[in-house]
Amino acid sequence: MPKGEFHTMSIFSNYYWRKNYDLALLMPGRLNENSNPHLLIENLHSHVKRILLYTYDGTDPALYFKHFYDWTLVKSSPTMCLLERN
Amino acid sequence: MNRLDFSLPNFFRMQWANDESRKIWEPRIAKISSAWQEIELAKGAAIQFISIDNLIDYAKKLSKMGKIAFPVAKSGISSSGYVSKSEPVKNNQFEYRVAAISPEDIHKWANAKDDREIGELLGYPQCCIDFFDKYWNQDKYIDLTWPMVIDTPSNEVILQDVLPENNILLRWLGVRPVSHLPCSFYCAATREIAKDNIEAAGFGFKEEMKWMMELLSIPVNWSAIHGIGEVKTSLFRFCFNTDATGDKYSVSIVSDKKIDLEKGKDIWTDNGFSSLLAMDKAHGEIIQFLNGYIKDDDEVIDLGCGNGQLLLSLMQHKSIIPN
Repeated sequence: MPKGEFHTMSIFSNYYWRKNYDLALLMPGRLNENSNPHLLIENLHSHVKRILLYTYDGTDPALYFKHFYDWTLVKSSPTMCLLERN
Repeated sequence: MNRLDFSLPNFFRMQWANDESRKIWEPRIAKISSAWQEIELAKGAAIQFISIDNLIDYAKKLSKMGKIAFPVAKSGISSSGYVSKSEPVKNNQFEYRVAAISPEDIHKWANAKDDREIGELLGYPQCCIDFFDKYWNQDKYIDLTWPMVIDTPSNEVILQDVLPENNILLRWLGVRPVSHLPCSFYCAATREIAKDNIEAAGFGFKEEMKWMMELLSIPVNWSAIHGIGEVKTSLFRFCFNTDATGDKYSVSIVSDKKIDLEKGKDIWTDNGFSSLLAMDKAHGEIIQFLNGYIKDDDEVIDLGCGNGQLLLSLMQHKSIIPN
Protein backbone atom coordinates (compact mmCIF):
# COMPACT_ATOMS: atom_id res chain seq x y z
CA MET A 1 0.00 0.00 0.00
CA PRO A 2 1.42 3.42 -0.88
CA LYS A 3 2.19 5.59 2.13
CA GLY A 4 0.27 8.82 2.04
CA GLU A 5 0.37 12.17 3.71
CA PHE A 6 -2.08 14.96 3.44
CA HIS A 7 -2.97 18.20 5.06
CA THR A 8 -5.56 20.72 4.05
CA MET A 9 -3.18 23.60 4.50
CA SER A 10 -0.07 21.87 3.22
CA ILE A 11 -0.19 23.83 0.00
CA PHE A 12 0.41 27.00 2.00
CA SER A 13 3.41 25.87 4.02
CA ASN A 14 6.88 24.51 3.47
CA TYR A 15 6.67 21.94 6.22
CA TYR A 16 6.27 18.99 3.90
CA TRP A 17 9.30 19.77 1.87
CA ARG A 18 11.59 18.28 4.50
CA LYS A 19 11.28 14.97 2.69
CA ASN A 20 10.85 13.64 -0.81
CA TYR A 21 7.82 12.13 -2.46
CA ASP A 22 7.22 9.86 -5.40
CA LEU A 23 3.95 11.51 -6.29
CA ALA A 24 2.07 14.70 -5.46
CA LEU A 25 -1.63 15.11 -6.13
CA LEU A 26 -2.54 18.67 -6.99
CA MET A 27 -5.64 20.40 -8.20
CA PRO A 28 -3.87 23.19 -10.11
CA GLY A 29 -6.58 25.73 -9.41
CA ARG A 30 -5.25 25.75 -5.86
CA LEU A 31 -2.16 27.55 -7.19
CA ASN A 32 -4.32 30.64 -7.52
CA GLU A 33 -4.92 30.47 -3.78
CA ASN A 34 -1.22 30.48 -3.03
CA SER A 35 0.47 33.83 -2.49
CA ASN A 36 3.72 32.43 -3.86
CA PRO A 37 2.96 29.66 -6.37
CA HIS A 38 6.46 29.82 -7.80
CA LEU A 39 7.97 28.79 -4.47
CA LEU A 40 5.57 25.88 -4.28
CA ILE A 41 6.45 24.75 -7.80
CA GLU A 42 10.15 25.05 -7.02
CA ASN A 43 9.66 22.92 -3.95
CA LEU A 44 7.71 20.40 -5.96
CA HIS A 45 10.53 20.18 -8.45
CA SER A 46 13.07 19.62 -5.66
CA HIS A 47 11.09 17.08 -3.65
CA VAL A 48 8.64 15.29 -5.96
CA LYS A 49 9.26 12.90 -8.84
CA ARG A 50 5.82 13.09 -10.38
CA ILE A 51 2.80 15.35 -10.11
CA LEU A 52 -0.76 14.51 -10.96
CA LEU A 53 -2.67 17.61 -11.97
CA TYR A 54 -6.38 16.93 -11.90
CA THR A 55 -9.65 18.84 -11.99
CA TYR A 56 -13.21 17.92 -11.16
CA ASP A 57 -14.93 20.78 -12.97
CA GLY A 58 -13.80 19.85 -16.47
CA THR A 59 -11.03 22.45 -16.63
CA ASP A 60 -8.13 21.22 -18.72
CA PRO A 61 -5.11 21.03 -16.40
CA ALA A 62 -2.90 21.70 -19.44
CA LEU A 63 -3.86 25.34 -18.96
CA TYR A 64 -1.43 25.34 -16.04
CA PHE A 65 1.54 23.88 -17.94
CA LYS A 66 3.12 27.31 -18.16
CA HIS A 67 3.98 26.92 -14.47
CA PHE A 68 5.61 23.51 -15.01
CA TYR A 69 8.13 24.23 -17.77
CA ASP A 70 10.77 21.87 -16.34
CA TRP A 71 8.50 18.83 -16.32
CA THR A 72 7.61 16.25 -18.94
CA LEU A 73 4.08 15.14 -19.67
CA VAL A 74 3.90 11.34 -19.41
CA LYS A 75 0.16 10.75 -19.53
CA SER A 76 -2.90 12.90 -20.05
CA SER A 77 -6.68 12.88 -20.22
CA PRO A 78 -9.09 15.83 -20.59
CA THR A 79 -9.05 16.39 -16.81
CA MET A 80 -5.78 14.80 -15.67
CA CYS A 81 -2.09 15.19 -16.48
CA LEU A 82 0.77 13.25 -15.04
CA LEU A 83 4.03 15.17 -15.12
CA GLU A 84 7.50 13.80 -14.47
CA ARG A 85 10.43 15.88 -13.25
CA ASN A 86 13.13 16.39 -15.89
CA MET B 1 -38.38 -21.67 25.18
CA ASN B 2 -41.11 -22.00 27.77
CA ARG B 3 -43.86 -19.92 26.23
CA LEU B 4 -46.90 -18.62 28.07
CA ASP B 5 -50.39 -18.75 26.60
CA PHE B 6 -50.92 -15.07 25.89
CA SER B 7 -49.61 -12.57 23.40
CA LEU B 8 -49.52 -8.80 23.44
CA PRO B 9 -50.93 -6.82 20.53
CA ASN B 10 -48.50 -5.50 17.93
CA PHE B 11 -46.50 -2.54 19.19
CA PHE B 12 -43.18 -0.89 18.45
CA ARG B 13 -41.24 1.80 20.35
CA MET B 14 -37.81 3.14 19.58
CA GLN B 15 -35.34 5.13 21.64
CA TRP B 16 -32.09 6.67 20.39
CA ALA B 17 -28.85 6.61 22.38
CA ASN B 18 -28.36 10.34 21.77
CA ASP B 19 -29.36 13.17 19.45
CA GLU B 20 -26.29 12.75 17.28
CA SER B 21 -27.08 9.10 16.57
CA ARG B 22 -30.64 10.00 15.69
CA LYS B 23 -29.69 12.96 13.50
CA ILE B 24 -27.37 10.85 11.36
CA TRP B 25 -28.98 7.44 11.41
CA GLU B 26 -32.72 8.06 11.45
CA PRO B 27 -32.80 9.38 7.87
CA ARG B 28 -30.36 6.68 6.79
CA ILE B 29 -32.53 3.91 8.21
CA ALA B 30 -35.54 5.41 6.43
CA LYS B 31 -33.56 5.38 3.18
CA ILE B 32 -32.40 1.79 3.72
CA SER B 33 -35.95 0.66 4.38
CA SER B 34 -37.23 2.49 1.33
CA ALA B 35 -34.41 1.08 -0.82
CA TRP B 36 -35.22 -2.40 0.40
CA GLN B 37 -38.70 -2.18 -1.15
CA GLU B 38 -37.10 -1.42 -4.51
CA ILE B 39 -34.44 -4.09 -4.17
CA GLU B 40 -37.11 -6.71 -3.47
CA LEU B 41 -38.87 -5.70 -6.68
CA ALA B 42 -35.67 -6.08 -8.67
CA LYS B 43 -35.63 -9.76 -7.73
CA GLY B 44 -37.69 -12.56 -9.25
CA ALA B 45 -40.73 -12.25 -6.98
CA ALA B 46 -41.57 -10.43 -3.78
CA ILE B 47 -44.43 -9.94 -1.38
CA GLN B 48 -45.15 -6.42 -0.21
CA PHE B 49 -47.88 -4.58 1.69
CA ILE B 50 -49.62 -1.98 -0.48
CA SER B 51 -52.43 0.35 0.59
CA ILE B 52 -55.59 0.48 -1.50
CA ASP B 53 -54.79 4.07 -2.50
CA ASN B 54 -51.39 3.07 -3.86
CA LEU B 55 -52.39 -0.15 -5.58
CA ILE B 56 -52.98 1.34 -9.04
CA ASP B 57 -49.70 3.25 -9.08
CA TYR B 58 -47.93 0.17 -7.74
CA ALA B 59 -49.38 -2.00 -10.52
CA LYS B 60 -48.31 0.57 -13.13
CA LYS B 61 -44.82 0.63 -11.68
CA LEU B 62 -44.62 -3.17 -11.81
CA SER B 63 -45.86 -3.25 -15.40
CA LYS B 64 -42.89 -1.11 -16.42
CA MET B 65 -40.69 -3.82 -14.89
CA GLY B 66 -42.53 -6.56 -16.79
CA LYS B 67 -44.29 -7.73 -13.63
CA ILE B 68 -47.81 -7.83 -12.34
CA ALA B 69 -49.35 -7.23 -8.91
CA PHE B 70 -51.14 -10.32 -7.63
CA PRO B 71 -53.02 -9.65 -4.34
CA VAL B 72 -52.75 -12.68 -2.07
CA ALA B 73 -54.38 -11.45 1.15
CA LYS B 74 -55.86 -8.55 3.05
CA SER B 75 -54.17 -7.33 6.20
CA GLY B 76 -55.06 -4.80 8.86
CA ILE B 77 -53.08 -1.57 8.72
CA SER B 78 -50.05 -1.54 11.01
CA SER B 79 -48.77 1.61 12.68
CA SER B 80 -45.17 0.38 12.38
CA GLY B 81 -43.30 -1.35 9.58
CA TYR B 82 -42.49 -4.97 10.32
CA VAL B 83 -45.05 -6.66 12.58
CA SER B 84 -44.78 -9.93 14.46
CA LYS B 85 -48.40 -10.90 13.91
CA SER B 86 -50.74 -10.26 11.00
CA GLU B 87 -52.80 -7.25 11.91
CA PRO B 88 -56.55 -8.02 11.96
CA VAL B 89 -58.76 -6.02 9.61
CA LYS B 90 -60.73 -3.44 11.61
CA ASN B 91 -63.57 -1.20 10.35
CA ASN B 92 -62.89 -2.46 6.84
CA GLN B 93 -59.53 -0.65 6.93
CA PHE B 94 -56.91 -2.82 5.31
CA GLU B 95 -54.00 -3.02 2.92
CA TYR B 96 -53.21 -5.70 0.39
CA ARG B 97 -50.50 -8.24 0.71
CA VAL B 98 -49.40 -8.23 -2.91
CA ALA B 99 -47.09 -10.57 -4.77
CA ALA B 100 -45.00 -8.78 -7.40
CA ILE B 101 -44.50 -11.54 -9.95
CA SER B 102 -43.80 -12.35 -13.58
CA PRO B 103 -47.00 -12.80 -15.61
CA GLU B 104 -46.01 -16.34 -16.58
CA ASP B 105 -46.05 -17.37 -12.91
CA ILE B 106 -49.60 -16.25 -12.24
CA HIS B 107 -51.07 -19.77 -12.33
CA LYS B 108 -48.49 -21.06 -9.89
CA TRP B 109 -49.34 -18.22 -7.51
CA ALA B 110 -53.07 -18.72 -7.94
CA ASN B 111 -52.69 -22.41 -7.11
CA ALA B 112 -50.19 -22.05 -4.25
CA LYS B 113 -51.73 -23.88 -1.33
CA ASP B 114 -49.57 -22.89 1.60
CA ASP B 115 -46.54 -21.00 2.85
CA ARG B 116 -44.26 -23.78 1.70
CA GLU B 117 -45.28 -23.33 -1.93
CA ILE B 118 -45.20 -19.55 -1.61
CA GLY B 119 -41.71 -19.76 -0.10
CA GLU B 120 -40.58 -21.83 -3.05
CA LEU B 121 -42.11 -19.37 -5.52
CA LEU B 122 -40.26 -16.58 -3.74
CA GLY B 123 -36.99 -18.48 -4.08
CA TYR B 124 -36.42 -18.90 -0.35
CA PRO B 125 -33.93 -21.60 0.76
CA GLN B 126 -35.50 -24.99 1.50
CA CYS B 127 -33.94 -25.09 4.98
CA CYS B 128 -35.56 -21.76 5.82
CA ILE B 129 -38.91 -22.84 4.36
CA ASP B 130 -38.85 -25.95 6.57
CA PHE B 131 -37.83 -23.83 9.56
CA PHE B 132 -40.61 -21.30 8.98
CA ASP B 133 -43.21 -24.02 8.51
CA LYS B 134 -42.24 -25.77 11.73
CA TYR B 135 -41.88 -22.81 14.06
CA TRP B 136 -44.25 -20.22 12.57
CA ASN B 137 -47.04 -22.36 11.16
CA GLN B 138 -46.97 -25.46 13.35
CA ASP B 139 -45.57 -24.20 16.67
CA LYS B 140 -47.14 -20.73 16.30
CA TYR B 141 -44.10 -18.66 17.19
CA ILE B 142 -44.45 -14.97 16.29
CA ASP B 143 -40.73 -14.13 16.61
CA LEU B 144 -38.32 -16.65 15.12
CA THR B 145 -35.21 -15.20 16.75
CA TRP B 146 -35.00 -17.74 19.53
CA PRO B 147 -35.82 -20.71 17.28
CA MET B 148 -32.76 -19.68 15.22
CA VAL B 149 -30.60 -20.71 18.20
CA ILE B 150 -33.03 -23.09 19.89
CA ASP B 151 -30.59 -25.98 20.15
CA THR B 152 -28.48 -24.20 22.75
CA PRO B 153 -28.84 -25.36 26.38
CA SER B 154 -28.78 -21.90 27.97
CA ASN B 155 -31.32 -19.04 27.91
CA GLU B 156 -28.50 -16.72 27.01
CA VAL B 157 -26.67 -17.18 23.72
CA ILE B 158 -23.60 -15.29 22.57
CA LEU B 159 -22.85 -15.60 18.86
CA GLN B 160 -19.50 -14.87 17.29
CA ASP B 161 -18.49 -14.45 13.67
CA VAL B 162 -22.02 -13.72 12.46
CA LEU B 163 -21.74 -12.04 9.08
CA PRO B 164 -23.93 -8.99 8.37
CA GLU B 165 -25.55 -10.97 5.54
CA ASN B 166 -26.93 -13.34 8.19
CA ASN B 167 -28.03 -10.70 10.69
CA ILE B 168 -31.80 -10.30 10.71
CA LEU B 169 -32.16 -8.63 14.13
CA LEU B 170 -32.92 -5.18 12.71
CA ARG B 171 -35.83 -6.37 10.56
CA TRP B 172 -38.28 -4.35 12.67
CA LEU B 173 -36.59 -1.24 11.24
CA GLY B 174 -36.70 -2.47 7.66
CA VAL B 175 -32.93 -3.06 7.80
CA ARG B 176 -32.51 -6.59 6.53
CA PRO B 177 -30.33 -8.33 3.96
CA VAL B 178 -32.98 -10.90 2.96
CA SER B 179 -36.79 -11.01 2.71
CA HIS B 180 -37.23 -14.34 4.45
CA LEU B 181 -36.73 -15.38 8.05
CA PRO B 182 -33.52 -17.43 8.06
CA CYS B 183 -33.18 -20.76 9.84
CA SER B 184 -29.99 -19.70 11.64
CA PHE B 185 -27.45 -16.92 12.00
CA TYR B 186 -25.03 -19.01 10.01
CA CYS B 187 -27.29 -20.18 7.14
CA ALA B 188 -25.10 -20.39 4.03
CA ALA B 189 -28.06 -20.27 1.62
CA THR B 190 -29.30 -17.08 3.29
CA ARG B 191 -25.87 -15.56 2.97
CA GLU B 192 -25.80 -16.22 -0.77
CA ILE B 193 -29.23 -14.65 -1.26
CA ALA B 194 -28.15 -11.63 0.79
CA LYS B 195 -25.10 -11.18 -1.43
CA ASP B 196 -27.31 -11.36 -4.52
CA ASN B 197 -29.66 -8.78 -3.03
CA ILE B 198 -26.85 -6.38 -2.27
CA GLU B 199 -25.51 -6.85 -5.77
CA ALA B 200 -28.98 -6.29 -7.21
CA ALA B 201 -29.09 -3.00 -5.32
CA GLY B 202 -26.28 -1.90 -7.63
CA PHE B 203 -25.09 1.65 -7.79
CA GLY B 204 -28.62 2.99 -7.36
CA PHE B 205 -28.57 2.15 -3.68
CA LYS B 206 -24.85 2.02 -3.01
CA GLU B 207 -25.01 4.36 -0.04
CA GLU B 208 -27.99 2.61 1.47
CA MET B 209 -26.30 -0.78 1.21
CA LYS B 210 -23.12 0.59 2.74
CA TRP B 211 -25.10 1.97 5.67
CA MET B 212 -27.04 -1.26 6.02
CA MET B 213 -23.91 -3.39 6.17
CA GLU B 214 -22.43 -0.97 8.68
CA LEU B 215 -25.49 -1.28 10.93
CA LEU B 216 -25.64 -5.06 10.60
CA SER B 217 -21.97 -5.37 11.54
CA ILE B 218 -22.06 -3.77 14.99
CA PRO B 219 -22.80 -5.68 18.21
CA VAL B 220 -26.49 -6.23 18.84
CA ASN B 221 -28.52 -7.88 21.57
CA TRP B 222 -32.03 -9.31 21.32
CA SER B 223 -33.88 -10.23 24.48
CA ALA B 224 -37.40 -11.29 25.37
CA ILE B 225 -39.42 -11.66 28.55
CA HIS B 226 -43.17 -11.47 29.34
CA GLY B 227 -44.03 -10.98 25.68
CA ILE B 228 -41.86 -7.89 25.27
CA GLY B 229 -38.85 -8.08 23.00
CA GLU B 230 -36.01 -5.60 22.95
CA VAL B 231 -33.15 -5.07 20.51
CA LYS B 232 -30.22 -2.95 21.64
CA THR B 233 -27.28 -1.49 19.75
CA SER B 234 -24.89 1.36 20.56
CA LEU B 235 -27.07 3.70 18.48
CA PHE B 236 -30.59 2.82 19.61
CA ARG B 237 -32.87 0.35 21.27
CA PHE B 238 -36.38 -0.65 20.31
CA CYS B 239 -39.03 -2.86 21.84
CA PHE B 240 -41.87 -4.82 20.29
CA ASN B 241 -44.25 -7.68 21.00
CA THR B 242 -42.77 -11.14 20.92
CA ASP B 243 -43.54 -14.63 22.20
CA ALA B 244 -44.53 -14.47 25.86
CA THR B 245 -42.23 -16.23 28.31
CA GLY B 246 -41.78 -16.25 32.08
CA ASP B 247 -38.00 -16.38 31.78
CA LYS B 248 -35.70 -14.02 29.98
CA TYR B 249 -34.09 -15.18 26.75
CA SER B 250 -31.18 -13.37 25.16
CA VAL B 251 -29.22 -13.57 21.92
CA SER B 252 -26.14 -11.40 21.50
CA ILE B 253 -24.08 -10.97 18.36
CA VAL B 254 -20.61 -9.87 19.37
CA SER B 255 -18.37 -7.93 17.03
CA ASP B 256 -15.45 -5.56 17.21
CA LYS B 257 -17.09 -3.24 14.67
CA LYS B 258 -18.19 0.19 15.87
CA ILE B 259 -19.93 3.12 14.30
CA ASP B 260 -17.94 6.32 14.59
CA LEU B 261 -20.51 9.10 14.46
CA GLU B 262 -17.92 11.65 13.42
CA LYS B 263 -16.79 9.47 10.54
CA GLY B 264 -20.40 8.74 9.75
CA LYS B 265 -21.08 12.30 8.72
CA ASP B 266 -21.12 12.98 5.02
CA ILE B 267 -17.59 12.79 3.73
CA TRP B 268 -18.29 14.10 0.26
CA THR B 269 -19.88 17.51 0.77
CA ASP B 270 -16.79 19.12 2.21
CA ASN B 271 -14.94 18.01 -0.92
CA GLY B 272 -17.56 19.73 -3.05
CA PHE B 273 -19.37 16.60 -4.24
CA SER B 274 -23.13 16.18 -4.27
CA SER B 275 -23.05 12.54 -3.21
CA LEU B 276 -20.82 9.67 -2.17
CA LEU B 277 -21.39 8.15 -5.60
CA ALA B 278 -20.14 11.29 -7.37
CA MET B 279 -17.05 11.41 -5.16
CA ASP B 280 -16.28 7.71 -5.59
CA LYS B 281 -16.66 8.04 -9.37
CA ALA B 282 -14.28 11.00 -9.55
CA HIS B 283 -11.73 9.32 -7.29
CA GLY B 284 -12.09 6.05 -9.18
CA GLU B 285 -11.14 7.79 -12.44
CA ILE B 286 -8.01 9.23 -10.87
CA ILE B 287 -7.00 5.88 -9.40
CA GLN B 288 -7.47 4.19 -12.77
CA PHE B 289 -5.47 6.96 -14.44
CA LEU B 290 -2.56 6.33 -12.07
CA ASN B 291 -2.64 2.60 -12.70
CA GLY B 292 0.92 1.51 -13.46
CA TYR B 293 2.50 4.75 -12.22
CA ILE B 294 2.53 4.08 -8.52
CA LYS B 295 4.13 1.32 -6.50
CA ASP B 296 3.29 -0.22 -3.16
CA ASP B 297 5.98 1.57 -1.17
CA ASP B 298 5.62 4.94 -2.89
CA GLU B 299 5.36 8.10 -0.84
CA VAL B 300 2.42 10.21 -1.94
CA ILE B 301 1.39 13.67 -0.84
CA ASP B 302 -2.05 15.13 -1.45
CA LEU B 303 -1.80 18.92 -1.60
CA GLY B 304 -4.81 20.99 -0.60
CA CYS B 305 -6.72 17.82 -0.15
CA GLY B 306 -10.02 18.73 1.52
CA ASN B 307 -10.64 15.95 3.99
CA GLY B 308 -8.14 13.59 2.40
CA GLN B 309 -10.64 11.18 0.87
CA LEU B 310 -8.83 11.01 -2.47
CA LEU B 311 -5.62 9.89 -0.82
CA LEU B 312 -7.48 7.44 1.39
CA SER B 313 -9.18 5.97 -1.68
CA LEU B 314 -5.82 5.72 -3.42
CA MET B 315 -4.30 3.89 -0.47
CA GLN B 316 -7.23 1.49 -0.25
CA HIS B 317 -7.14 0.56 -3.95
CA LYS B 318 -3.89 -1.28 -3.69
CA SER B 319 -5.37 -4.17 -5.65
CA ILE B 320 -5.66 -2.25 -8.91
CA ILE B 321 -2.21 -0.74 -8.62
CA PRO B 322 0.41 -3.23 -9.77
CA ASN B 323 3.83 -3.35 -8.14
